[in-house]
Amino acid sequence: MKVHYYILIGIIFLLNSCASYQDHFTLTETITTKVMTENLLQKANTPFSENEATVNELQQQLQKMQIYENTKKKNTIMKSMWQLLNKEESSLQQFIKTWKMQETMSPAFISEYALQINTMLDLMIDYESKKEKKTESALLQFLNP
Amino acid sequence: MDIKPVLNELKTEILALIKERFKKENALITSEITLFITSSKEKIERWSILLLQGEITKAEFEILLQSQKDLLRMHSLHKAGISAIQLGHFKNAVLKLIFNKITLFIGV
Repeated sequence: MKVHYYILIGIIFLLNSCASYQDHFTLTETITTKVMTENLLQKANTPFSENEATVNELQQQLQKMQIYENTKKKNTIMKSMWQLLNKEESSLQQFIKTWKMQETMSPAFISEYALQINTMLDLMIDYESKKEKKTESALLQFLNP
Repeated sequence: MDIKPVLNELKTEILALIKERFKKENALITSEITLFITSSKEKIERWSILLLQGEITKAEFEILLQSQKDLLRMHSLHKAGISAIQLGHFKNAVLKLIFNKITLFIGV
C-alpha cells in the first residue's frame, strides 16, 4: 500500500516541478513600463533634448527589468520578451535613437508606433497575469481541497 | 491488489484529455496566424502610403517595419508562454484524475 502513496506523491511532484508562477513585481513593473512608454511617446513630437531625463528613466527601467528577469529560473519567455525590448536593433531602441537624431518625431509615426508598442507590452502583461499564482498551485489544491 | 486495470483506465482517460486539448489548440493557432498575416499586410500598405505622402520619414518607416517584426516575435513568445501555462493546467487535470483514481482504488 505504501508503494502506491510513494508513486502518487512522486507523480505529483514531477508534474508540479515544471510550474512557473506569477511574479507580482514583474506584473506591476511591466504595467509601469507600459505607462512610461505611453507617456514618452506622447512627448515625441517635442524636442528630444527637452525629454532626455524621461528617456533615461525608461532606459533604466528596461535595463532593470532585464537584469531582474535574468535572475529567475524557468523564466525563458519573460526573459526573451525583455531582451526583445532592450536589444539595439529593436523598434523601441531604434525609436529613441531616431528621435535623438531627428530631434522630433512626426505625429503620424507616434500614433502608428503607439499601437505597436502598446500591443507588445499588453502581451507581456497578459502572459504574466495568466501565470498560476503560487498559493493556488496544484500541490496545495490537493493538500487543501 | 491488482493496479493494472486502474492504470489502463487512467491511460484511456488521459489520452481523451490530450485529444480534446490539442484539437482546440491547433484550430486556435491556425486562426491567429491567419489574422496576424492579414493585419501585417494592411499595416505595411498604410505605412507605405504615409511614407509616400511625406507624413513619416524613411527612418520612421523602418522603425514601423521593425516593430512589426518585434510584434511577431512577441506574439510567438506569448503563444509559447500561454501554451506552457495551459500545459500546466492540463497537468493539473491529469493530477486530479490520478489522485481521484488512486484514492478510490486504495479506499482513502
